Amino acid sequence: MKKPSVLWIEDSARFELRNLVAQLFFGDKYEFSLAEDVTSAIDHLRAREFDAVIVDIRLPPGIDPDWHRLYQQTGFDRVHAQLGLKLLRWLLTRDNSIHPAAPPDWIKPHQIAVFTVESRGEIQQHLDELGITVFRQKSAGLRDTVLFELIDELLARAIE
Amino acid sequence: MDTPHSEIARESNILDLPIGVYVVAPAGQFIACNRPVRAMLDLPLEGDVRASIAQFYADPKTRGELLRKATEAEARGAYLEKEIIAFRVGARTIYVEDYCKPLRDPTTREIIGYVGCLVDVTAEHEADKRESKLQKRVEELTFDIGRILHANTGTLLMAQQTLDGVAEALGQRALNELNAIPLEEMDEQLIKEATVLANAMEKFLQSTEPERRCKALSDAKWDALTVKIAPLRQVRDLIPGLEMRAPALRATAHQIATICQEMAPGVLPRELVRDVLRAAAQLQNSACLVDVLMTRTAIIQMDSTLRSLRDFITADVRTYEPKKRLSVRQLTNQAITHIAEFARSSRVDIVRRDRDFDTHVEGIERDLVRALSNLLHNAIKYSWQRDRAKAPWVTIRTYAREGMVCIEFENWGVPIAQEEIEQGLIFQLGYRGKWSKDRGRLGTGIGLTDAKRTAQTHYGDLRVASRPSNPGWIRPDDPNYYNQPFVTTVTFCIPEAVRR
Repeated sequence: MKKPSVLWIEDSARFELRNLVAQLFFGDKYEFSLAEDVTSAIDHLRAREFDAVIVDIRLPPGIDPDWHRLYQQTGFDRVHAQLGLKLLRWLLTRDNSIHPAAPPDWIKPHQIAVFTVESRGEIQQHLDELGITVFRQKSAGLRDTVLFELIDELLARAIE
Repeated sequence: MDTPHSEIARESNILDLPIGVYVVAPAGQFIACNRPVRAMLDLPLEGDVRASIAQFYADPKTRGELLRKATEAEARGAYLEKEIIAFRVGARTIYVEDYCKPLRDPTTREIIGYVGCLVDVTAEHEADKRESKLQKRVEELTFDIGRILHANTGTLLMAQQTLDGVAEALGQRALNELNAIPLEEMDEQLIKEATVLANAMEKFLQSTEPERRCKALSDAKWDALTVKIAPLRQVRDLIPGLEMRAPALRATAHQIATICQEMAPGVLPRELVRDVLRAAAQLQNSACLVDVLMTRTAIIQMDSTLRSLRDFITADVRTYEPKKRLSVRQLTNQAITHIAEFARSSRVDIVRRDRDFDTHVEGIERDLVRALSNLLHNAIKYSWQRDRAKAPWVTIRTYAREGMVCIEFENWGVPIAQEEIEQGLIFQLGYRGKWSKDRGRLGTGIGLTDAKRTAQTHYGDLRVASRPSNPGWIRPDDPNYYNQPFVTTVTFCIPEAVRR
């Protein structure tokens, strides 16, 4: 049986959240890919379809000049730029005021989970507008299995 | 209530002046006062004033003190000037600035009254009070932040010392030796040990019959073991970067060992189980060691960031340190000593190219050492490996030119964009370089700002230049232009002290 494919878009995977990735790489449950900035996330999303996409909100732009410009306009600050939200809006609403290129057309809200340090209340309105229902807040003392659980929840919702 | 004074007042048209003017009797009864004074004190705007200035003093004792000062000023041939008085007018408190002098009888020289001006300064006074309250609060807060940062650096030191002990126990070597091992070598070792574990597991599975295996462990547990073999062999391609490889291998080796320990005893060949357990323990040990060393580096970096933040925040509230004549070599040495541990844990060498050069500058030692330490810290933090056989390095050069002493820090690695230098963005407080995030941890954003300010308060300046290591290889309009290594030079220049 084909393993579900998962893309995690997260710039802290190498450092603060490195303990979470072991389960994914060695678990044999998923085909796992990691993108550490918006540009490389889009490269992954264009190259193939994923069953589950986990997105962080505070992301760096990577080398794409348009994403970089957007980031620059907010003072080179991940916290205020919230490029993860802009990426989601671009992917799901095809808003070309965010980026002139057309986004890949296979991605739907039920394939996306948001895993971020922001509280649900802070971004609920955006999630509602985009139709994203799976959310987890990053906090101190996260279990090593949190990402696993998030992906399982997302995949279960997709089947429903 | 006409008196000679009020006649004088009227004749002099003092009542028409745009500021408050008054003449009062020694006890304070108004003899004359103009409209601004009347408006200020809610007195009738026209006609006689049947009131005393004394009744308006918020603190009645103040008046006696004020008149004494006015008399003393008169003796010096001066006026009482800019004395702030609080008046109670109805339910309000107003603040007035008083200018006043006694009026004397020309014959007897006795005081027959006082003449003066009042300016309502309530708004300014309230603002001054608010500002001074705020200033006090900022100072308290600054001390408090300093204390908190100090306490946190203490905790970091404790964590670092614990990790030092753990690293030495895991590595069976002194920390200095462990820090000297290149990360690439550690990575190779991990990959080798992952392969050894995969081989041991494979041999174990091939040498045992399925029926016997089922007696030792459930099918699900065997599946959990089996699926780990291929990823262990492909770990280099599967997991990008040592930062993620080490914790992933540590967790996996632990899971394998835990499953193996659950096996029913006496069912499977003991030596094969022991080989797997030994290989898993070795991998777990090595992966833990790498993880501990990397966490230790992160702690030292955080410690360094907190220290410079604390020094910067508390710089204005510390005891005054006078300017001194200081040896440039000693200042540089102090900065190197401050940053030595950070350099060691980051595996970056500090290379001095100043051929025993030394001269002197006049300056505040604490500020200069802090500025130089920050510049050295940045140079280390943003250095990349340029040679597989050699650790990354930063170069320090010191020289004197045209009356200025220059201390130059050069590194090879993260670029600073041209526009960030030209527009002075990198010198703005809190600004973090566009390309400076490659090591995953933010700095304080104060290093260059503080160093430039320090240079300028010492009548010098800070210069920054950043250019591709191989100019012309990639065009500036190529999206990959800033992905190539840049040579960045930050030069701290201040005037050379007069030679003795």
